[in-house]
Amino acid sequence: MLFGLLPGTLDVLVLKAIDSSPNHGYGVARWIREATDEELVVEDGALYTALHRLEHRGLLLADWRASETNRRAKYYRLTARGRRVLDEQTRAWRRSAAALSKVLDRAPRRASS
Amino acid sequence: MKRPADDRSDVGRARAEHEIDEELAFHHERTLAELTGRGLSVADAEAEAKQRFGPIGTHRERLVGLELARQSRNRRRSAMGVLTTSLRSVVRGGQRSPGFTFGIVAILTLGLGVNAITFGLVDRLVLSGPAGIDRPGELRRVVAHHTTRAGVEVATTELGYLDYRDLLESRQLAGAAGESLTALLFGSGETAERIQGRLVTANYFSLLGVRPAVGRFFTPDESEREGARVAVLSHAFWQRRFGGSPSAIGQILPIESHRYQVVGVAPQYFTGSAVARVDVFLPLEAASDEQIEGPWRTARSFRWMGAIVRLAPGATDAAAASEITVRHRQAYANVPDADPEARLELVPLNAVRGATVAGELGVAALVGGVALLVMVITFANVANLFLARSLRQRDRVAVRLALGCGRTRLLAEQAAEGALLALGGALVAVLVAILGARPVQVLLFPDVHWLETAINPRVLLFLAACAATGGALAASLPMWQAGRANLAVWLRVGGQRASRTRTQGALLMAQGALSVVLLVGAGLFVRSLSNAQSLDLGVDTGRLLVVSVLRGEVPPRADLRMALRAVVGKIPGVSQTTEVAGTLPFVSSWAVGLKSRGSRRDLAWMTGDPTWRRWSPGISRRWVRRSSRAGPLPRPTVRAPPGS
Repeated sequence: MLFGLLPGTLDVLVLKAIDSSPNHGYGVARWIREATDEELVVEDGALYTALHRLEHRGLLLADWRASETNRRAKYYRLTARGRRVLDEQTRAWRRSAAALSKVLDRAPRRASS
Repeated sequence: MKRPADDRSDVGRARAEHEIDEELAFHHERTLAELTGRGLSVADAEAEAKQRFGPIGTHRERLVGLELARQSRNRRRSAMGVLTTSLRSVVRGGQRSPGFTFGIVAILTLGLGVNAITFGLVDRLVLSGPAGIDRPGELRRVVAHHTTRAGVEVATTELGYLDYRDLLESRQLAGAAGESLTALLFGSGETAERIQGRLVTANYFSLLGVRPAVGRFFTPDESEREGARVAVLSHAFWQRRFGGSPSAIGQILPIESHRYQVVGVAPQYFTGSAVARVDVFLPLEAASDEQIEGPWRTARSFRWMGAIVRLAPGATDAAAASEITVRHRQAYANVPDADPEARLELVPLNAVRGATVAGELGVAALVGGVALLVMVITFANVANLFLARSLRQRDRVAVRLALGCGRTRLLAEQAAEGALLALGGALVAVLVAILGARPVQVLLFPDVHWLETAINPRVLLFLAACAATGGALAASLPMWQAGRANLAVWLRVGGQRASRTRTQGALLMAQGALSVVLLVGAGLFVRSLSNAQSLDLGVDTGRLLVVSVLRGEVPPRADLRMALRAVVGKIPGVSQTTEVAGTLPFVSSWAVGLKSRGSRRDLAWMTGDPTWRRWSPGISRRWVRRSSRAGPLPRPTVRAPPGS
């Protein structure tokens, strides 16, 4: 089953995708698909917009270098500020998800007469 | 036409589009490879890739916009980086070698201070023009061109009263007004003083679009011969004589032999159509009766006043000048000796070609030229100091270049450091200009109404532009040298003492040459001054005093001059007296110009016909003699004064 993205989640996904090592846009898109077992639908165009927006905000740095196919590609990496934001966002999402789970796992209350 | 900024913008957009297209092409290529690797046909892979990406046009445009914003931010950051590095370098340089920093700031202070003062003069005399005038761009000064009987072409702003009246009839003009600047005697007895009066027609203020600060201006009937004698004070005179009190209105001023009632005060800084100092405005027609002897209202030969006109809506200078020239020629058709080819020209208020201000403009241009030379020498000095420092620090520069710092970046840093130091010098130069401007103004142009401060936004802008440009150029010169340097040699010799470079030699030569030009110029000026002082005019000026008669409240009488001569003759030590009309030698505006040729100081007539001067029979032959070395200086006509 395919899911759309919740608002505000794309930036966290992109930051997380290049957390471990620098990657290009195609690599980020593929990482997200594989990490979510292709259940999360992210338009590639929107993904690139997010990458450029994050670069503009100073959360990512980019440089051109040779890719694994020896073709010139633009690689993105996290800045220190980007890493800080990723950590904060991760904690916030975890808290939100935990809170949401608590609500969803709770047994329905009987209506009082 | 495309502006350079548009070109830069086009180049930036093209670069951004290229970057985005290259990035997306890589993405597309990898996606197709992935999909075809899974067994999809090329057509299906294309369709799938297209679907995955979404609306390509929208995304691409958004990405180009973001890329442009990023490029712009990077440029700003880079400039800030250069500025920060340069600031740090200035501070560190000041700590490490205060002598270098102090030397540069001191040289710049001197050079820029001189230029600030000079530009202030030029700004007031030429660029800003007279203050307080409404839409000065529509106003023109009338210049008459005619050829004298001697064949000399004359351009003058002096017109006759009838010439002014003719201008009022022009359809190409929205209006015309007359004016004349004259020295007046204010008060009487020992407290009497000379003041500057501008005699103006009643419509003068309305033509110039001026409103009174206090009271009112003249009414048309007050311009007439029998009209009331009324006066409008200049703001400065009102402040000086009346402390800015509104009670000045209605007071009576004794000016020359009449009493004028104050009816208004002109706005601050307003001096009429020129920048000359003015104390009081008087109605031209009423005051001229006293100032000018003769039928000035009816005779075209009396030329003493100027005319200011405002162009009618849609009228051009050429059309208006053509129309008033036709009227002028018609009016002079029956005047004996009038030039039938005479023409009238309209010039902007600031492009003054009148005899009274041409000298001021000439002096301003001369002072400006000298100041420019001083500025060039200043920046050559600064460049030399930077060059000397760069030779000491070339190992550091070489290391930075070797580590990958771009030459452009180094050049920008050095230029910014120079500009910052120069701006520091400019700040101190402003203080120098504030303190030094007034003495220079009073010394060179005593008759100009100067504003309270010589520093205005235009002067500041000029100073900042000179400082930033000159400082940046002077400081970046060494980096231009670094561009041609052999890094290996620089790294090897490091900061060892270096011999003088060719650039340094050239700079020193340029400084020397310019200094020689200045010195020779100064020498020639002193020599000219000395020549002028020792000029043999055919008049023995030793122990000769000129007594001017200020009539004041003394009623006119036919034998006044004779009576005064008798009084002066009785003063102990006075051996002889005579009467002259006008003063010696060049004071009268009707006097002929003389010029000195070469070292023999020969005199030759410059323009016009020889004028006559009136002497009384008692003049000593020892005073007026024909110089043995002089040119064709005519003997003065000796005439008896009227009534003698």
